Amino acid sequence: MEIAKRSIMYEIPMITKENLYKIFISIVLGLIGFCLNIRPFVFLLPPHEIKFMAGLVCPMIVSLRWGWRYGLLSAIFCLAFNTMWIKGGWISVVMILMFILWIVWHGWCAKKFGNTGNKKWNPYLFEIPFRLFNTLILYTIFRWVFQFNPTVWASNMTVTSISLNFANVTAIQAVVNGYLILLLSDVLIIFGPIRKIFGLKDIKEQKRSNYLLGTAVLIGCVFWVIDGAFSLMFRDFSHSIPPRGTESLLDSIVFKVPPYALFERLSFFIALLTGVILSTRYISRYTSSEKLLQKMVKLSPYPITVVDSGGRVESINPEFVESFGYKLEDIPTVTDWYNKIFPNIFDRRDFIAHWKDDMQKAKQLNTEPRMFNVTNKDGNIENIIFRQVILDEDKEYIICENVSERTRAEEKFRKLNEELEQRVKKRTTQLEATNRELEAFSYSVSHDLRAPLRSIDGFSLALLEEYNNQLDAEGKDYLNRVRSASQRMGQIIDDLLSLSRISRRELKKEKVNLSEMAESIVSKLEEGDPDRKVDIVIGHKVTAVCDPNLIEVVLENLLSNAWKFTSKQEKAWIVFDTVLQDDELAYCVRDNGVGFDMAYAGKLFGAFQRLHKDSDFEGFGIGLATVMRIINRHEGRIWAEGYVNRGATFYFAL
Amino acid sequence: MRKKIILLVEDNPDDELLAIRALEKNNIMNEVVVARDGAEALDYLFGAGVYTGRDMSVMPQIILLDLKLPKIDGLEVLRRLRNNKRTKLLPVVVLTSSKEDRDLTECYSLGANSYIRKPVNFAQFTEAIRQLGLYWLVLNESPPV
Repeated sequence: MEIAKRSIMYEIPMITKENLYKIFISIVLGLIGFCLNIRPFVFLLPPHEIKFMAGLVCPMIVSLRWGWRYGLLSAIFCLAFNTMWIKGGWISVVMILMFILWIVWHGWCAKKFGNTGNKKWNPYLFEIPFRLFNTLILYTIFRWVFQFNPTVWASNMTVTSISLNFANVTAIQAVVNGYLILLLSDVLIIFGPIRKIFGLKDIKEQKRSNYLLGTAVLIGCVFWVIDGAFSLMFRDFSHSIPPRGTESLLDSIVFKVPPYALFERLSFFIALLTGVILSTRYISRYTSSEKLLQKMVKLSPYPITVVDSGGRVESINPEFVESFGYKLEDIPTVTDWYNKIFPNIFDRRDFIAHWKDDMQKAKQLNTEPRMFNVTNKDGNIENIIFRQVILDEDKEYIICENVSERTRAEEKFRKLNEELEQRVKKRTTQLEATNRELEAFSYSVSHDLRAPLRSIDGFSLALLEEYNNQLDAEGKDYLNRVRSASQRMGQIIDDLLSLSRISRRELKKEKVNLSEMAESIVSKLEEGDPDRKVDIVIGHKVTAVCDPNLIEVVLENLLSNAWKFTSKQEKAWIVFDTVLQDDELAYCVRDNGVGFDMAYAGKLFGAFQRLHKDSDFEGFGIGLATVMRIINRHEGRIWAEGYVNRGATFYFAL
Repeated sequence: MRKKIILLVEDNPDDELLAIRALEKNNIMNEVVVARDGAEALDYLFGAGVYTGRDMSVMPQIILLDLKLPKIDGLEVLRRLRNNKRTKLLPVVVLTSSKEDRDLTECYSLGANSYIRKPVNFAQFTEAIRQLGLYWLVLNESPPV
């Protein structure tokens, strides 16, 4: 139960592999610091000396990275054995305690303000209050405890009391130490190997930074030694500085800085280090990316929780409050949060089990999102997808996504779809029933409606034949009218039936050569009316994918219409071809017949709609309705253009 | 010479009259037996009902069959005819108003010998009957009894 452990860890530190490693490194660095401090750098300011203890940088880095606990451990190892300070008796104890406190202070501040990022954290700024406090201590307790020094401890101390002057120097020494150490720790943490030790990811252009930093430090050291050597040589010519005396060569060249070189060396040192920091842009990049991340978290449309390595909820974004209803004070730790969002222990267990699996994947940034039913503050159940992101060791981002709305919408959509399907099924059944009815209807029409017509025609003819003598011309004419009317009606019934048959017929599409089809239709027309001379042009290799039987009906209708309506033209012509209209291939039948008024174009394709008088052109107005129906069945389009006495063009596209 | 009987199965008296008139006009003087529904036609063919005891050696030369009939429809009559050993080979001409594909398919698959749609125009009808009579009663050799 990784989660549970993490949350308890905050109260009782567990001995884990990670912790053991941190403890080990803290101690090792502390000891390295101790070794460095054995020989502090001394800036000579006769009659005073300012010591710079570079070794303090080790516990400081630990403290800044891992918090005050590890910092304290490291500091103890670094300072506790420092015999140089022990020599000073009580004042040494105070000094050591102050240094330890200093490291703990920065460690605490770094954890407290460094990660949440609402306030801009800057160790140099936090140094100020501590230094003020330090100075206060120096002028009070420090001077006061001196009198309690047992003689054994401070056997080599020549003075019996601490002068104000000495306190001043010590204060300056502390400020110099403090800021230089912070600067050094900032620079060193850029260094690749050191980042590895602390488990940090490489910064951008890590290699380049390594070279830059290494070179800078090397130049610094060389410069330092050369300058020391020169100053040793010139010491003999200067009257203001005491000669070398009993100092070792190492001291005079490296560790003890003469007063005239003090400012020069310090400013060079500081300039060098600052330059390194700026050139790597470490600080600005760090803060800007941190800022960007925080802004993104804040503005994110997803609820996000930021949890530290101790399982403490560091921050939540506004969307989180919006979505779950919990505020930061409701959920101080992730455990509290889990308890709240999963009131049911079994749900919680299930969740935590999955969470554990995802923890490892989260480090490689490839967690699979998982959905859980979560209880929000109002007690509503929400569907939440969880994702974990671990950017660095001590921070975990839990990104939630509230998909309740979506899930509900999907559910609704599914239901609607089902309903629709049901409805379509019902409609289809109804439609099938209607179709069957229609079929039965047309069947009976074809039988029953035609039978009486046959009788009318048949008996009229019988009358004409059998009672020819008794009928006068008028009577015969009437009977002939009866006959032609009944025949006409028979024809109409047949046309209507074929119209309805076309709708019911199954569509069998194949590639059809329309040119050949048109040729044969035209030759039939010519055979039927050999007296007429019509110029007929048929496009070459016009093909279409369609039902050949049905499309033949279309061509028959259109061509025979053209044939019919050009009958009064002296030089009649008919064209069948393809044209491109609005990027669409259309087939067209064009003639120079009587045409039609475009105002009535809408009536062309309706059943029984006719634009010409019976006496001019015979027909029942069903042909174009049939054509339209066939084109519709092909999911195509048909339209017409025409002008009175200037011909008509029928277009259709499949 | 055997009598060449025509069996006309027709429920509509008008049509019956017109058909007979058309036959007469074409000088087809054969005996015409008229059955007014499917059941009657079957009775005649199988010697049942009112036709019990009729001379069963006499079979129609041609059957003119309407499809839409009371009691037993034309298709059913055709089916039963073709299922009976005696009547299996009799020439049947379907004479009807319908032009439905369905009817055409069914008639031919049941073994109709011909399918003629009655035109409204009586002149055309007469012509059809003329050709029909010429073909089935004169030219066509009927199957052996």
